[in-house]
Amino acid sequence: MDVDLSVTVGTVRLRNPLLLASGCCGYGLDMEPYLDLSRLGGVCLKGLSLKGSEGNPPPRIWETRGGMINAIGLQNIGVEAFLKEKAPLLRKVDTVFVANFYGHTVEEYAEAARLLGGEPCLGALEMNVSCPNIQAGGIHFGTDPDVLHRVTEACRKATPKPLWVKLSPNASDPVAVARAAEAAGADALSCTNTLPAMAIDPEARTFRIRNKVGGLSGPALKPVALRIAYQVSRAVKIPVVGIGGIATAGDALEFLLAGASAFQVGTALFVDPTCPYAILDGIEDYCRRHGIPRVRDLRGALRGEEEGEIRCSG
Amino acid sequence: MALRRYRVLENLVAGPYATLTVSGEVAPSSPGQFYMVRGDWGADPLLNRPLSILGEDPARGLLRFLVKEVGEGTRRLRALEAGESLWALGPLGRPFPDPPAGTAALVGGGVGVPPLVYLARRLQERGHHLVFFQGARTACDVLALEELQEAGVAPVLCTEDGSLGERGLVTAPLARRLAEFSSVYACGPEGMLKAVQALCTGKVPSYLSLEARMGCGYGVCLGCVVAVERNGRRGYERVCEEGPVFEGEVIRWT
Repeated sequence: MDVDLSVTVGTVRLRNPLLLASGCCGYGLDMEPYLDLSRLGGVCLKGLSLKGSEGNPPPRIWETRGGMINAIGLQNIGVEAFLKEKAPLLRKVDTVFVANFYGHTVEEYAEAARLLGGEPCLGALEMNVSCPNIQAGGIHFGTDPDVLHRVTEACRKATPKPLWVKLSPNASDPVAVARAAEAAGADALSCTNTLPAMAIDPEARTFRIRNKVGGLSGPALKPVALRIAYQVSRAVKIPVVGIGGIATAGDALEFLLAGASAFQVGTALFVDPTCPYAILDGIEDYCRRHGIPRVRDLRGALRGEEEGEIRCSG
Repeated sequence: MALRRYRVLENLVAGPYATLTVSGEVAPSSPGQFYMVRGDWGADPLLNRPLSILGEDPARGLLRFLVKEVGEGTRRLRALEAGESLWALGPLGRPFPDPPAGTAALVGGGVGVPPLVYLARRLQERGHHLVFFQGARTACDVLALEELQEAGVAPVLCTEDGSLGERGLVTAPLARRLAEFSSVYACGPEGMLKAVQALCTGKVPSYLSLEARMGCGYGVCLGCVVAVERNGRRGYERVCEEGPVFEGEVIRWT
């Protein structure tokens, strides 16, 4: 049985539901020794800001049980250098590139969206909203529905490209921020980003990471990200892209069944840069075993859905 | 390139150290390069461990690593037995550059010794003159003496407690003999590398191979950076990609 792996995220058509996650595959070309990018659904590029950033001083990473914490500090070459040096090379590669971007003010976000919006190699833009808003006392753009609405609306007006918002798992009510992004014109929601985390060296009585706090990623994050992807996909009409600790076909299938249209693989690439092939093979095999001709039919195809609302747990 | 499975042929354990010989598909490397390595242990510990190459024989599909137990990942690598699997991605990183004419000093300490043993063998094969300095805390921490002997290298040994060779730091004999050398290659603890940098800057070209905690090992996570200064401009470079070998003068310790 032939399995149709293609999916759509809004108007964006992907060869298959697997995208490489931002921050885990450089500017795409870094993966070429390991992966044929044209065999992937897409590639979310390293987060860009208007002026670029040299990133945080080391140490930047620490391994935790089943995961890792990073505080890279969004090191990047900046939108202008990306458009001049990297984008022309990406135009020759047959995959969907998604430019992840961030700012420190609403204006910076909108300007980055405007500049990236003119680049033909980009199939969509993905807003990283897990950054402090310096105009609002450092509150993260992604945690407050009103703030998120404002910044999403500004980017929406600034670019004709499909606009994905990568939600922060830090919001107390993920459904409220998801609806705010949808109302402001987002085309899709990536659920979710890393979870703020910390590690301490008791012998030295110091922080393991120079920045003290970093983002938790990897398998340890998966159950949290899955729950958010599920809640959000039930609450909005726009598509959800699942992300958080996906390392196997089984992990990816959980996100698709929870309601995601596509998914991103991040930290797992650090362990095995060729793992996307195994994940895609596993999904195809699953579809064959279950007699599912099109992978997009898996979206939200959970049993037991009629059994009511999520109640208090624990 | 992919994460490949290798079979452990032999694992010689001595104290916290283990010399692993594995077999599988081996792409030719250059001294100073490394592999990202893990065992068959699932998702915990999550990340691969960077191990520099002690030696290799691509034609026979053999690779050798020297591991020191410093945490959970290296504890498990040290405990590997013949017949078990080892997964490795590599060779990675920028190797040691070829030395200029004259005599090269190779200065190693602890787990910084293996890549220099590999370099020594390569330089001997090519007829370069070299002097190998090895520093250790005590005689038990002196590494790879058999491999050095096989390569025809008689190392200058220093131990901090005087239990083998000269008593004190390895940088002391290096400092005394510095004028003999046209290049210095070093790999080892940060204190040793700082001392080598201080001795060599402005006098003789030095190449330092750095150790760093790594996420991916192939340039995408930006987790392993070190501060460098080139042409008056300071920035971060990746130990896995621009390194692990850097010209001594460019490193800015943070």
